[in-house]
Amino acid sequence: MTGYVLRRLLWLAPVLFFVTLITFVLMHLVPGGPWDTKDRPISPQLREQLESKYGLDEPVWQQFLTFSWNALHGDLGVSFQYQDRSVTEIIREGVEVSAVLGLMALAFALMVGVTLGVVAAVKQNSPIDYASVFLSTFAASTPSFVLGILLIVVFAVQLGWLPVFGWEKAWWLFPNWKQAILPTVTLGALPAAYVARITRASVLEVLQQDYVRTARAKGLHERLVLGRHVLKNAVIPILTVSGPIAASLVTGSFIVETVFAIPGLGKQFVASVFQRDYGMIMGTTIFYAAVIAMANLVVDMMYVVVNPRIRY
Amino acid sequence: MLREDAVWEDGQPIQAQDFVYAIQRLLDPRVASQYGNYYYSMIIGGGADLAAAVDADEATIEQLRDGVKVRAVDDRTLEVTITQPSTTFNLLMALWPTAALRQDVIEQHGDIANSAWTEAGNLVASGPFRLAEWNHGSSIVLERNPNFWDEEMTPVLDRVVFQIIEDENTAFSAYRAGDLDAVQVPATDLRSVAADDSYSDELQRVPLAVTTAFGFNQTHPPFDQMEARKAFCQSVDRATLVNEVQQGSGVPTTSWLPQGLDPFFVEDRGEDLAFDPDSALQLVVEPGSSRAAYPAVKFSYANVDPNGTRVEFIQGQWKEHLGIDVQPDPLDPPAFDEAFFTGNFDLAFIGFGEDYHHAENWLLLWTSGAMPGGYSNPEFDQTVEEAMNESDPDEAVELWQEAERILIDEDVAVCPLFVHENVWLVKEYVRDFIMTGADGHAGDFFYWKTAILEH
Repeated sequence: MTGYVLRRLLWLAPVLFFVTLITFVLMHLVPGGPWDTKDRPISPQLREQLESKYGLDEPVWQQFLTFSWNALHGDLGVSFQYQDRSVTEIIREGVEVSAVLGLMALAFALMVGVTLGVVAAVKQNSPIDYASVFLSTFAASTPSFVLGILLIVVFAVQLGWLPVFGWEKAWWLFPNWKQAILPTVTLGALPAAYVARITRASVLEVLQQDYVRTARAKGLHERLVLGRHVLKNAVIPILTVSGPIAASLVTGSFIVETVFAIPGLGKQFVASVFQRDYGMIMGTTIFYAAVIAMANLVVDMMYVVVNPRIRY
Repeated sequence: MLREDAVWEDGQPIQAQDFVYAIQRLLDPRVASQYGNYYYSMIIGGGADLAAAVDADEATIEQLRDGVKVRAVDDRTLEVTITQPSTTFNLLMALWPTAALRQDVIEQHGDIANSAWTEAGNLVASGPFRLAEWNHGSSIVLERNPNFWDEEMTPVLDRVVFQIIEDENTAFSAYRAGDLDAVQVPATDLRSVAADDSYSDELQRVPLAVTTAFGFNQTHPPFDQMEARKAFCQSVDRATLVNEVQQGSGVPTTSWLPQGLDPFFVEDRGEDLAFDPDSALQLVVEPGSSRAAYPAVKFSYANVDPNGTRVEFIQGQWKEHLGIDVQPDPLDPPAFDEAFFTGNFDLAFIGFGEDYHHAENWLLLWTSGAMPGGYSNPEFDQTVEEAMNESDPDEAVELWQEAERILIDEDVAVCPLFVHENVWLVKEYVRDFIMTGADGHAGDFFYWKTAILEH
């Protein structure tokens, strides 16, 4: 196991290198550069000044080497769009917001999804089951911007219970709970629906196992059958899907962050491409690559924990 | 001469040296200021050499900087020597790039090019408000500057909070929910808002000095022919564009200079370019410019809302009135900027908003080689130069008007479509929320008289 983890971590280096290389090359190939965002002609003199200031007057391969060398030392450079602020700092600020929102959405998705799934499976083909299936189909097929706007119109504009937008830190990294509700629900709805479907299918499968029949035959109380025998075994597929869901949630969602005006990293990532903010494009891409690689590693390790038959 | 009572927010007097430093910094190549080129040819010893010293060492740059003819005669007298007499020098000196800067504050946070000094807590300014908070990506908070020198302009409000909301529908929802006191109306909601009586006391509209137009690449046929340019321009129904596509936002125009740019604006400028499909058709079927011989052209634009629907409408007009199929060419904004500024387009959807309120700002753009698309007319260039050198104000106005006549009526170098409009909803309890034609963004508006009544 330790050897496996070390091997995987070693593999991270070439993965990140190629992600960096490919992003760097693509970024320079796309038409339009970081100075083509001012909507006014840039004088040749100013272009020269800017390129010298940001080191873009060097040949591209040399820029790549300089960038890689600095990145290895933890320096991802500066943002061109945001007045030379350090990319590392912008990413840190964005992650603090996106990760907190993502974790809350994950908690929401697991709680709602597992509950709905279990209830639906236990009461299979009852009105409760149909209601649960309807709800999860609805959540799965509604794009998050539609759901976000719908929630805003109902709960913020019409009822006036919750604020429309914002993310002001109230306690440590967490915002005011009122501000958190709508974005958390919007972001968590789709994964909740997914978890509900997986849970329902998994619980239904386990319910048909011989050991469940045995447990019932022994005369065990239905509550004990469910808790001790069914859920414990049904949880494996749920854990399996939670890994990728967690990775996608904590890296931030462009749409949810835009609809609720939340200063997260998902928005920065997309904006950096449109602004040709070379520093931010490289920084966010490398960061995302590292996060996703680590998340996959954690998921693979979790397989071993939940399923003793798997060995590396 | 500087006024005696002017002080920075920390109480220190504003001195001529602060302006000297600001102008030197503006021209410093290490700072790479976007607006340096407005100034470096104007100030003696300024310019060109210092701006070009990109790879020079510090000593050389400092030597060049000391050669710039900007000096503080004493604490309250600033002296700037300019290369030639100029009627717009005062306007340029009143723009933000030459605003006084505190050398001690900037240097405390890094080198001359650093921007950490602009953060809340670091910034030392001198306006009616001071920067209290800047929460990147979410809000900017201003509070009344207790040391503001002008008692008459001391603001009524204690604080102004700018919420940074990219999605205009979210901002509009927040306004409806009562979370915001003022909001820009989303383009897609304009018609319903204007028709809704409950908003009639809250709606504020101000024409904006931003002209939207389409430009021709005169090095690509058929737009090397004035007749072709004119035909394309005459065949667009601007009234429908503004009323239907724009939901009533904006004012149709055939003039490059915006209405309100007095005394330069001329009412009937470009009247010959107004919507006239019959005349347009005549122009394209004339011998030598037959429609069949028209090469395929594309219409490039920055693909941000609502440009797509505007371009679609204009393209439809050409097809309907001229029978010419133009290929729309949506590009993401930096790609459009690159294509446009390198002349890689046939037709381009463009707009211009002024930096300073003078015809020079609008027309200098069209002198030979300045604007992509290859427009060049020695007569226009000469008229502009004469206007810039003319010391008699009335004569100068006539020369600027003549220059625009050549540009629009004679050459059809560009086809103006409409001027923009700033449309806001402001709660009834907000008094004296002042917008002007030159200020497009909320942060530029004037707030010192603004007051919020009990509600």
